[in-house]
Formats: sequence, C-alpha cells, structure tokens
Amino acid sequence: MPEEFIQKLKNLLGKNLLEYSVGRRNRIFVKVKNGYHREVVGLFLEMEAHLSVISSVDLGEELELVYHFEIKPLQVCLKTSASKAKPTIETISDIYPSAAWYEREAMEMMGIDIANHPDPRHLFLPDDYTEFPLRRY
Amino acid sequence: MFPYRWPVLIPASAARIGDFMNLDIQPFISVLIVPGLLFTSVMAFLYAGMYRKVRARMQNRRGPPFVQPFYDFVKLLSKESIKPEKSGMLFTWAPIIALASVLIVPILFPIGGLSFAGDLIVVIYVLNISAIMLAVGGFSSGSPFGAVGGSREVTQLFAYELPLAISMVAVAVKAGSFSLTGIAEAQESSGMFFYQLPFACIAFLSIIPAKIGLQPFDIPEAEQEILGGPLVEYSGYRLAIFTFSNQVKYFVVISLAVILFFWRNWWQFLITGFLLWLLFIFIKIISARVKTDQSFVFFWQYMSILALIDLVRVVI
Amino acid sequence: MDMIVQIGPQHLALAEPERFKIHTEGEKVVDVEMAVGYNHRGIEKLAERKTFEQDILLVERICGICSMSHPVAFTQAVEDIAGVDIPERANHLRMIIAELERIHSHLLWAGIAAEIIGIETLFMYIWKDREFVLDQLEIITGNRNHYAWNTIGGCRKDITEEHFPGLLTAIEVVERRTEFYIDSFLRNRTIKARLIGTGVLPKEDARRLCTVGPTARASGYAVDVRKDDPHLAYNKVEWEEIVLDEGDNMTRAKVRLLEILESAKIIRQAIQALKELPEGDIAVPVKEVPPGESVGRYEAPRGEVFHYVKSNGTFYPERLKVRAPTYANIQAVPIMLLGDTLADVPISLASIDPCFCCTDR
Repeated sequence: MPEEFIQKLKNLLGKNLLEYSVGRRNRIFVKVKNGYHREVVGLFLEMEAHLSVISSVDLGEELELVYHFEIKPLQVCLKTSASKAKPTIETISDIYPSAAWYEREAMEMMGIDIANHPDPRHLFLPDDYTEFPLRRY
Repeated sequence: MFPYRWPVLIPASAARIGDFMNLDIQPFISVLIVPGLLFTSVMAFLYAGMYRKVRARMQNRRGPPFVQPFYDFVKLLSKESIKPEKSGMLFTWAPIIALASVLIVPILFPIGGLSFAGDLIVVIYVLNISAIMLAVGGFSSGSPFGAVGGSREVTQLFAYELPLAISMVAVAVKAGSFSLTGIAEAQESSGMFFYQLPFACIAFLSIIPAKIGLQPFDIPEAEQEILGGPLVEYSGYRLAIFTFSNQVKYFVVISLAVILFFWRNWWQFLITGFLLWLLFIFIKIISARVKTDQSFVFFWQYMSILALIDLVRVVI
Repeated sequence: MDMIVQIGPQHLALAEPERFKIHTEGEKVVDVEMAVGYNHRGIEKLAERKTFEQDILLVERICGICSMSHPVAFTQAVEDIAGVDIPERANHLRMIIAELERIHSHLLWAGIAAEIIGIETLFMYIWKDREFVLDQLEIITGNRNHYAWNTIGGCRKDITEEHFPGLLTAIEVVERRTEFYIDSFLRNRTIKARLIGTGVLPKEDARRLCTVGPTARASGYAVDVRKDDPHLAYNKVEWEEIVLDEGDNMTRAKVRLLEILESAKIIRQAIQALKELPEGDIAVPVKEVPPGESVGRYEAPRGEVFHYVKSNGTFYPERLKVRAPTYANIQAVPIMLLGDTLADVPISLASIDPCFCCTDR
C-alpha cells in the first residue's frame, strides 16, 4: 500500500517530488517542491483524506511546513519548504477550511508568510507581538 | 374552635394597652407581627432553609443548617454594595420596591389580616410589581447579562399572567367574592376548591415555579447561562433585599395557592403550605430548565386552555 | 434588539478562559467570533529545552485530565523513532489506564452538561459515581489525575493480582449507574426539551472541517484512532465504535455515555489478558533516540491527539508539535451555534467537551 501511494505521487509530480521515506506503522514522509503542494492536496481531497494538523519546522536555512493527512490506513506527512529570506507558501484553506487556523499559528510562531490567507491575524500570541518564538536563532 | 380571623398568639397585654389608650391596636399587630412583617420574615427564612436542606439531602449531601438563609442575609448586609457606573437610581430602588410590594400581600391573608373586598385584584397587581422590579433591576444595572435577564423576566411575565388571571377569576366567581377572606369563607362552607375546580388548580400550581424562580421555569435567573440574570451586578445590602424579597415570594405565592384552593382553617393552612412547598422543591430537583419559547407555548396553549375550561364551567 | 453578548474569558459555563463574542438579534444567534490564546504557555518551545524523559512529564501537564492522552502519543512517537516495540504487557497496562481515564472524563462531561442545562441533581449524582473510578486510579497509579504512568519504552508500574478485584467491582458499579444515566438523559422530558435539536452539526460540515472524536462520531463521520490506526492493544480486544447520525447535543451525550459501556468492556478483556500474560518486563530500556521523525496519534476522550516529534540525535528533541482535539473541533463551533437561541449557546459550547488549555498549550 505505501508503495502504490508513492508511485501515484511520482506519476503526478514527476521530479517535483523531492524525497520520500516510509516509516513504521504506515507512516509516510513526502517532500515536494514549493508551489506544487496544492496539487497534491487536491489529490488528497479526492481520496477523502483527513487533515490532522499543519506543523512548522525551522530547518536552519529553510522554513518547512508539514501537512499531516490521514488517508486510511496511511499517515502521510507532506512537506514543503521555503528559504528563510523569503518564506512564502501558498495557502490550502480554500481546499481544507480547517487549515485556516493551523496556518495562522504557523504564521505567528515561525514567521512563514502564507499567501492569500483569508484571516492572517494572530491566533495565540498577543496582537502586538512581533517576534517569531519558535525560530531557532 | 378558634375563630379564624384572630391569630392565636395575640398577646393579652397588647390588647389591654389598646383598651387603655382607646386605640384599635389590631391593625398594627396585623401589619407588623402576624401575619405581617415578623411572621412573614420567619416563614420566609423557614421556607428558604427547608429548600436548601431538602435539596441537599436529595443530592446525597448534608446541606447547610436550617437558619442559613438568615446568616446569609446578615452577612450580605455587612458587605460593600458596589453600584456600577452605568446604572441609574432605579438600581437601588428596584429591590426596595420589590420587597415592599411583596410584603403587602401577607397583610391581606385571612389569618388575622386586614381584608377588604376586591383584595384579590390588589394581590395580582402587587405580585406583578415585584416581578417587574426584578426586570427593572436587570435593565438598570448597565450590563448585557442583566438586560438579557430582564427581558427574559418580562417575557415570562407575559407568558404566565394569562393562566394565573383566568384561574384566579374562576375561583373568585365560584366563591362569589373577590376578597381573600370571602374565598376562605366560601371554602369553609362548601369544601376546598381544588376538587371543585381541578383544572384551575392545576393551571395555578403550574405557574408557581415560574413566579418564584424554580426549575423548570427559572429562566430569568439562569446562573450558568447568563451569569445570574438580573441580579448579576448586585452585591451587599441591595442583593440582601432582593434575595429576601425572593424568599418572601416563596412563602407568599405558596400561601396564596393554599388560600385559593386548599383552605380549611389556619393551622391546616400552615401544614398544607409546607407540604405544597415540599412538592415544588421535589419538582425543581428532577427538572432541567426549559427555554423561553418552550415555556411560552406551555403556558399560553396548554395551561390557559385548562384554566379557561374551569372558568367556563363556573360561569355557566 | 441587537446585542453583543460576550461569553468569557471568565464565565460560569466554561471551565477555562476563551472569548466568544455572540452577536444576537433578540434571542437568536447570528454571528460568533472566537478568540483563543488565553492559556498559551509556550509548551512547544519549552519541550525543545528538556530531555525526552522530562518531556513526558511536561506534556502530561498540558491539561489536567488529558493525562494519558499526551504522554502516550508522545512516547509512541519517540518509540517509533527509536525503533523499539514495547512489551505486550505494557500495551495492556497502558490501555487499562487509558480506558479508565476515558470513563472518568466522560462522566465529568455528563455532569457538567447536566449542570449547564439546570438539573444540578444529576450533576451531583454523576460526580459521586465518578469517585469510584478516581479511587481506583489512585489505588493503581498513586494519583487521581497526573498518573506518570508512561516512560519511553513502556510503563513505570504494574497492575497486579491484588488490584484486579477492586477494579472489576468499580467497573461493574459504573456500568450499572451509566445505564441509569443513559435512561435519565433519554427519558427526562425537560432534558430532552433542552438537548434534542439544538447545536446541530451536519455530517458534511463535520467531514469538511475535519472534526474528531465524539463530536464527529455523533454526526456520522466515523473517525476513531483506535480503529483507524491501531495502537496499544486495541486490535486485540473486541469492542464497537459508536457512530450515530443526528449530530445534535443529545446525540453527542448519547455517544459519550455509550462509550463508557464500551470502555468497561475493554477493561474487562484487558484484565483477562493480563491474567494470562506471564509476569515480565513492563518496559524496554531506550538508551538514545536516533535522528528521525515520527507521528504519534491517540484517541483521547475528546478526540484525536496528535504529536509530531522530530529528533536530531541529541538528548533534546528538535521539534515537538502538539495538536489537541479541541483545536480541531472548535472550528466547528460557529456552525453549531448559528440559528439557535442564546439559551443554547452554553450547552452547545460544552457539548464539544472543550479543553482550552490543550488547545492553547
């Protein structure tokens, strides 16, 4: 099952699928190039995936967003990253409405600039807080 | 036995002072002692204490002592009463008028009170004043929760006024008199009214939880939803007066039900009052709180028609 | 009369602070604005400064009653990174405490729901019966709420022969009382008048917004981590997933109360399995955690708890991401509140079983 899934993604993305790995207990980690994640998310919507959460990771040179989906019985972590100098990633909140709040948290905690987000206010932090707490300086 | 008009405990010395001073002392006793201020206060605290104790025991708890409402009253008087900036003069006067109005009713009871023809109408209006004062207190407190509570109180007043008035009029027509003493006398001669006017009795008993603020109809005072409704901004002596007026209302409305439907003589009046109060505590314990629109439907559609049946039966 | 009623941050109906601005026309709700973040403590940043063992205690304290949810999800993720399989006995031990926590959490919710709709007698009765479960938890683990039951690689204590009789008696009592409560909720006329038909969440919205837990299962959207992603020993015991259709407040109450009965079944079978397993190790020593990443999921009483752990080979995790079930369910709250009256707002809010300190971390 994981292999067929990876094969499907390869067919869709070609060389935009940067790397992938399969962990224990049906966990799959897939990294795609910035800008192509929306196609994959659209494909997941057709497969009736369940969006669990969107995490943000500081990789040093780049800022990464990890979208966690459940496509029974697989757990897929879809990653895409952008450079720290210009961290712009497109929103998926028109495909999955619940992504809106997760992206707000990523914006305020890691400083990732989510393009076309419908409501880019602070979620947990005070409104006048300007730093990005979860970055590793 | 004893004539029902005279209370048992009239002190002989007071009567002799009255004779000596050539003054009719009985109105003062009626207003201040029995069944006026002293008697009503004692009964109000007794009813409130019973309420808390019985409720606690049915919930597997021990509950406060019976005199706890009195302790709470004294404690509240000693606390600071904060008046919100946005509130008006009615914020202080609403509880005072509510208490005064609800204390007028026991003076008219047929257990040594001053009764006159038509005092049933006075009772209806005066009890309305106390309900309206609760709403006025809510509106004048300057808080949205108070305003919501006040508007709910007024809505509920519209709802239960109709069956209340119809059943009271049915009783008055049956007794041939609009005075409490007249109704009591009619029951003494022809038997209690609750089996002669059963539908009016049921309708009247059903509005009692709404009138005194118990589940299932305690919508205006819903603590968990609107933080206490009209009383949310009250503290100190103003809250003490409001709470005391609510407790006096417990006694007054139950006694009214007993006089209208279950009267035999004055000591059965007391016993039936306690039993009826126990019944309403029990109903409160097993019920959740219904919503405003549901209570409206209940009172206007079902209870009004029930009371109307009896009114028609009596008139025809 | 248009009004803005603000529920929170301090309110009698909410146990924890969040702000809900309800725009009403008369008594009907027309708009809801939510603001969260009153309980934010920076747990994710703090977790990067503590070792993996210290992090177990840290995530346990994200919430008071989600006390097996976060540690089990976290340790499962770390065990996946380290590539260890914990012993069979440890799986069953974790499952027993997890189901006991589910029972006491659902009873807590049922009591609070009864209190909010005004029938405080039921609240007193339910919380008294909850004490049986808390007593058992205290006897077994040593504490009523933060159990410290987990370590990386297994459990810290064992459940032995002497615990079994008390546990079985408590389960039996709770089962009998829960059947009485299900009966009360379904037959008391005033409770029915408040709960039926209010706070409706249609199935399409539950799926589109990816809600989790009993909130989703009561709307017909069948997600349950215990069935979809079998962890601990859930695929070794027989139990049913409770999925109902209507999606109103009464259905959510029904789902939670029926789940208590299922949990009692699971605990009995787990005790039976423990009696048959040989007394052995309850933990596997894990010396170091290699670089890697993994995802730990766990079905808490409120829904799916999600932990994403990334390790870089040192003693400290590189990144910990926690997502509590209320974080997913709170986005469905406006749909539940719109169109109902102001009187239904507290009970609809409480019916998603909110745990705002888990949401804010």
